[in-house]
Amino acid sequence: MVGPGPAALENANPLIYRRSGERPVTAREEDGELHDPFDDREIFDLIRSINDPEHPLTLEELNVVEQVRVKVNDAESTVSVEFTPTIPHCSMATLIGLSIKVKLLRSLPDRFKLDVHITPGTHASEHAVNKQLADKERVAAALENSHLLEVVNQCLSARS
Amino acid sequence: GVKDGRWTVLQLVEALGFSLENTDPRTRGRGIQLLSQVLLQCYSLLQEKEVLHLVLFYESRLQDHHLVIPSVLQGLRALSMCEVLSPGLAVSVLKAIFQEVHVQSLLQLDRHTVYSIITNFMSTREEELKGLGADFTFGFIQVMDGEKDPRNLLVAFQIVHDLIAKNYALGPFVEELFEVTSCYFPVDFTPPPNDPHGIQREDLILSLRAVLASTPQFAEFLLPLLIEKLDSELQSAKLDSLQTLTACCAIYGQKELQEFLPSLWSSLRREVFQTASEKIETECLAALHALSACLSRSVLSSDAEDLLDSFLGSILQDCRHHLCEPDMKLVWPSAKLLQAAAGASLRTYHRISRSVLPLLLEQYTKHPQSSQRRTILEMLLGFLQLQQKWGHVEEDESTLLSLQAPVCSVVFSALTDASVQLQLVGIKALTVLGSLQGFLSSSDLELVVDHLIRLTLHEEDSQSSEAAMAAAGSLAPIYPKVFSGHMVPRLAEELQSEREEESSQDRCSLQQRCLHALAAVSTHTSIVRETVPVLLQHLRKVQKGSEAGNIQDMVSVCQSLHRVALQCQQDAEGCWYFHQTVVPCLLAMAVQAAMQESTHLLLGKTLLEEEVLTAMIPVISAATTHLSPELAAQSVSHVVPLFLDGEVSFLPQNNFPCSFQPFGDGECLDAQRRLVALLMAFVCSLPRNVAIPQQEWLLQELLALSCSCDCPFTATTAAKCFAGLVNKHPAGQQLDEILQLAVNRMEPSLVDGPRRMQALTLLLWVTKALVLRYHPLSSCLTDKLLGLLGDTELGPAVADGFSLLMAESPDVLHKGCHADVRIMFRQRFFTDNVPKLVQGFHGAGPDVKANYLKGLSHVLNHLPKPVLVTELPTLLSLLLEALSCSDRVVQLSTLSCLQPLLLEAPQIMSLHVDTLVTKFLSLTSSPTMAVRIAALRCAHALTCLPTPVLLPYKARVIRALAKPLDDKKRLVRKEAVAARGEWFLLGSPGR
Repeated sequence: MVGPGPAALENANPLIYRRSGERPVTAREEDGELHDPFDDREIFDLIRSINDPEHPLTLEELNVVEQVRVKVNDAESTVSVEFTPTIPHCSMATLIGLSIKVKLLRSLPDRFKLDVHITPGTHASEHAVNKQLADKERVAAALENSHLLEVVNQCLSARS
Repeated sequence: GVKDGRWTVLQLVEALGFSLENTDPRTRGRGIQLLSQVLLQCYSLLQEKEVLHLVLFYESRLQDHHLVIPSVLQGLRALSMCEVLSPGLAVSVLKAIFQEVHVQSLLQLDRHTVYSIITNFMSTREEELKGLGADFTFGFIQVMDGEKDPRNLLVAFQIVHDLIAKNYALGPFVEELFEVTSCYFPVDFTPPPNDPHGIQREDLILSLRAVLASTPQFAEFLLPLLIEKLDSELQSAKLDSLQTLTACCAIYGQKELQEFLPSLWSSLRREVFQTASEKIETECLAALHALSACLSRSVLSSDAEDLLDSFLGSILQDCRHHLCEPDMKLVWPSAKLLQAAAGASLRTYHRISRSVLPLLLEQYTKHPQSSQRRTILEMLLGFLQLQQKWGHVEEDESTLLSLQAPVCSVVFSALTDASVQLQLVGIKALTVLGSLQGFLSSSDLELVVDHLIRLTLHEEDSQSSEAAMAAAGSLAPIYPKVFSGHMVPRLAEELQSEREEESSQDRCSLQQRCLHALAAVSTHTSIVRETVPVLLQHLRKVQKGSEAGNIQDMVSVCQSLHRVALQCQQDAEGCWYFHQTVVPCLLAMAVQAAMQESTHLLLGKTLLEEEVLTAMIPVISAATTHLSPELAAQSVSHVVPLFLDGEVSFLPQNNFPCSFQPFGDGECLDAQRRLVALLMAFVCSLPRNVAIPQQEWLLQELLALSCSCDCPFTATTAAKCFAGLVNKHPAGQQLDEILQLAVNRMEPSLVDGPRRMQALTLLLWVTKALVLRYHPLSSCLTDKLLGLLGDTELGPAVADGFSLLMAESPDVLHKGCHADVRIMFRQRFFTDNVPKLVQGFHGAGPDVKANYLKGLSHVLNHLPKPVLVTELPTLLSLLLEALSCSDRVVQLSTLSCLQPLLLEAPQIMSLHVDTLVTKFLSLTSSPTMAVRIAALRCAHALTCLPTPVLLPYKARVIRALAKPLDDKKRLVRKEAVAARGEWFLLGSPGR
């Protein structure tokens, strides 16, 4: 995995998509007594503002993540996220997947079992990437690498 | 001695003779130093002859030992300030310095002295120095070459700037002068910590920029340098280059820019297309704007190529095709570049819009998707707004006018699109088109109004409907006839129609929309005259109706009236019309309702509901605050007698069954008494210079009512009205008497009895009225309140009352209604009373301690944050204690008080990091949602403290924050995610 260099943009003029606005707060959510279950939108909100490692754009704006490709089951404590690299040979796919995974690990309760993978048929080395992302030890090892951690943290930092 | 004339300088020189001629350079140095010190103090007393000799002496000393030089320069500096310096001497001094002294081998201070000498001469002997020709410039170049000290550089840059600005001869040394200054570009300087000179990087940048951008002669050297720095990797170098380029464009012309335009354009384009930084993008656009403006300004000679045309040509060539890809990333950067260039001048606008507008219109029809259309229309809107900048549409050459029909059809099609986002842009575009004088034909205008009415009333999405109302509001003053003749009648009709087939809920929301729209469109006096009667008519209708939901309807009408009142405040005629029409009408309706109550129990009673009266208050208040004193006096002479004497003759429809005596003793007068709210709205909003007839009597009645009435609404309103009047009452015996009366009345009731709450309310409001105006009695009343904090029954109410004292109240006692409010009253209240609160807290019993904390948190919450930060060290321990208090109001206000402090005073807060971490984490499991949220926000704000302080807690906080990630409330989880994410980043690479 290579860090982004200013001259090496793989896709200089990508398609961009509109950001969904802040989720409006409902009266139900403001009632302190009621229980709000986790829903797809809530998970999507966690990952939509992750920065792309290459562009000054979010994963949502690049349509790498979409709400319809996010599934959560609160009762069974499972989360599944599919992401779509902008081009089939995108070398950043693993890095993007890793960022999503790390963001979810940091933001969701332990009880959830996470599954982050590439939307089927959208990337050349789909299986290899999926395998890396599913392997807990490899994810942990990747985060021991301080260069990689730096890039992931940059993707997860609030945009300045 | 020389100073008061007892000694002459000559005598001094003779006396110093020995040391001035001594062979030891140290002794010589001391002699000259003494002489120079004397001269610095009394150079203004010297004679021309003396100056001549001194100058010759000092010049010869310049060749002396290097130890002596600093004192020699000091002496010359003193002499350079002499007014009686003979012609020619300045030149000879400078020549001597240029020749004899190697300035850059001197110390900083001595170099500074040389610059001062030059500056002094330049300001007084400009002509003589110019006589030196380019030699002077060359001499100076040698002096400053290699200067490193920021203090000296600031002076040196100023000298270069003056050289250029005052037209000194630069001769063949232009490039040398450029080299000697441009070597500092871009400025890279970080002031040392605790720098006593206070020179910031920004100072150097600006003064260097002033030099570089001061003459077109530098252009051939500067522009390549700027391009080089723009292409570098360093953000700050890019920014500085762009800003300098923008500054240069103010004085450059075609000739200077010609050669470099292609590379400038390609650098600017690259930056805008690729940068991640908004700042750089903005500066690039500003530079492009400046370049285009500069080229448009230049006068063309008949045979020269039109550079502007070819420059804009290349911009269009590089950007135009991106506009056809509304989904792609480069579409917006391209549009912004084109707009920046188009905004530079009328010529650039025509050139670009001629090419781009037809393209955008064509693209709009080619792309059927709403989201693409929205992007295209937004770009079109940007160009339309630029046209707005040039004011009117010029008949003959405007591209826009020739495209009138397609532009209108595109905008209208957006208005009917199903996508709300597209509609919103369409509405904005419509507003811009409407503001272009003469663009819309009258038939178009009617169509516009139809669209606005449709969107306002029938569009499901509230955003679109609100935007349409706002558009109507901003277009109405431009076309008042069209709106009053077309829109108002339609709305009125819609409001009155009773269609049975619709469900009552639809009916209700349609009426709401109508009411809002009527208010929104009332932005011109002629329209106000149409809408106000409609609104009042509707209010009467609702009052007569007997439906259950009509409290809300009445409130809505009042809200609309309030909005209209605010909109016509600035216009004296409209304001008086509104006051004259609305105030008597509301009073009449209220009085009538209050009288009827005794006979028909149900009918017309809703008007007297607390909510409705409360909604009427701002209407009357807004209609009153901006009246001229004469008109206000006229009005007050009707309203006050109405309440005191029951004088109803000025009201419309004034044949009432019985008399109106709100201050009377009768049993069945409760309803009438409630109308004190309307009296308050009126009298408390009057300008301070309007006299209120029978004021003392009125005050006594209000006082009596506030203490004796059992209805809390009436009692509170009477107390507020009393306080509002007392606040504006001129100081003096009368005021003291009435205040004494109030105190006598309150005191016994406060001690015990059935009306303790009423007395407390009165005490709070009167205290507020006096605190605001710094009245001496206020401290006595505040002490009374502080004492009551320890009262088990009233204590909690008193604590809440502190919020009333500090907060802005919406209806009385604020600046808007002309109350006497001193700007620093909160700070003053804080310094006077917080020590007492703290003392009270420590002395209080456990059951009432919370009252003191609560009072304190209210005071702190309303204090400006900068003040709070300075007072913090003394209070922090108490605030930390307050975090352990079980009262959730205290917890909440303490947390909301600590959160900004964490952001603004991290150094002080980091001393308490241990306590803060523990308390915040424990509050994240509070049963109250708002407390959990506030605690998580504080935990988030903790990350602003210095990282080394936090790292020991990182693991613990991350572990503890895992629990609220699974909170049952989504809003809490959201804060937990934000806080935990930030804690993960602490001390981690890439933060």
